[in-house]
Amino acid sequence: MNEFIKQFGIDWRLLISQAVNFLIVLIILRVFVFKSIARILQERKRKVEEGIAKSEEADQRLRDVQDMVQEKLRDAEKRAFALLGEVEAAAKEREAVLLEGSRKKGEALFMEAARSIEAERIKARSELEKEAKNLIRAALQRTIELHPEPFEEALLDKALRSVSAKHI
Amino acid sequence: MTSYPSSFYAKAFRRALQEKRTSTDELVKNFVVLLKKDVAARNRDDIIKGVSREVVRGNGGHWITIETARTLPKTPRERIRRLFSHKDFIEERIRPDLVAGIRIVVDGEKEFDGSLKRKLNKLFS
Repeated sequence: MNEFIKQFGIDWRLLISQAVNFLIVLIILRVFVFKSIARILQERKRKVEEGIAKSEEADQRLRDVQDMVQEKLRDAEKRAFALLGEVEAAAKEREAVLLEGSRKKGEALFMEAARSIEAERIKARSELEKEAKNLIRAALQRTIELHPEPFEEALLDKALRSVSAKHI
Repeated sequence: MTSYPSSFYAKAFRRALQEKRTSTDELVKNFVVLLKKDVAARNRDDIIKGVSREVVRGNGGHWITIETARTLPKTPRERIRRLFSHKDFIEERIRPDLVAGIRIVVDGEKEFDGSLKRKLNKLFS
C-alpha cells in the first residue's frame, strides 16, 4: 500500500491541506453560492411550473372557448336554418297571398273588361236599333206625307168614333 | 207698371161680366183699352186666351183644342162639331209634326191622342 501511494506521489499533508481547502471552499460555496443558486433555481422552477400551469390553463380555456365557439356556431347554424325555414315559409305564404291577390285582381279586371265590352255592345246595339227605328220611322213618315189622305181619313174616322164612344 | 198673371185678368173680366154694371160691348171695349195700355204685347195673347176660356167656362162649356197635321176637310170638321155641345169652344191648331190623325184636348186636362205621331212613338219606343 505504501508502495502504491509512493509510486503515485501522494503526499498526505498536501492531500489533507487540499481536503481542508476543498471543505472550506465547499462551505463557502454552500453558504454563499449554492443557496442563492438553489433559490434562483427554485424560483425559476416555480415560475416554469406556473408558466406550464398557466399554459395548461390557457390551453384548457382555449379548448373551452373553442368548444363554446363550436357550440355557438352549431346553435347559430341551427337558428339560421330555423330562420331560413321560417323565412322560406313566410315567403311561400306571401307568394301565395300575392298570387291569390294577383289572380283576384286579374279576375276582377277580366270581369270589368267583360262588363265594359258587354255594356259597349249593348250600347252599340241600342244605338243601332235607335238609328234603325229613326230611319224606318222617317221613311214611313215621308211615305205617308206623300199621300196622307187615306191615312188621314182612316185615323180621323177611328179617332172620332173612339171619342164619340168615350165622351171625353 | 205692376205685372199680373194672365189668369188674374181673365177672372176679373169674368167677374165684371157677372156683375153687369155696364153693357158687354162697353166692357169688352174697356178691356181692350186696358190691355193696350197696361199689358206688354207678348202677354196679350195669353190674357185673351185666358179670358176666352173663362167666358166659355162661365157659359158652362168646354175649351176644345183640335190638333191636326193639316187643315181639316169640311166633313170631318162637321163630325167633330157634332161631337160637342154648342156651348163648347173649338180651337183648331195645325201641327205638321202629328203627321196624320187628330189630337183632342178638353179644357187643357183631358186628352185623346189619335195622331200618327203617337202611334209611331208607341211602335218605335
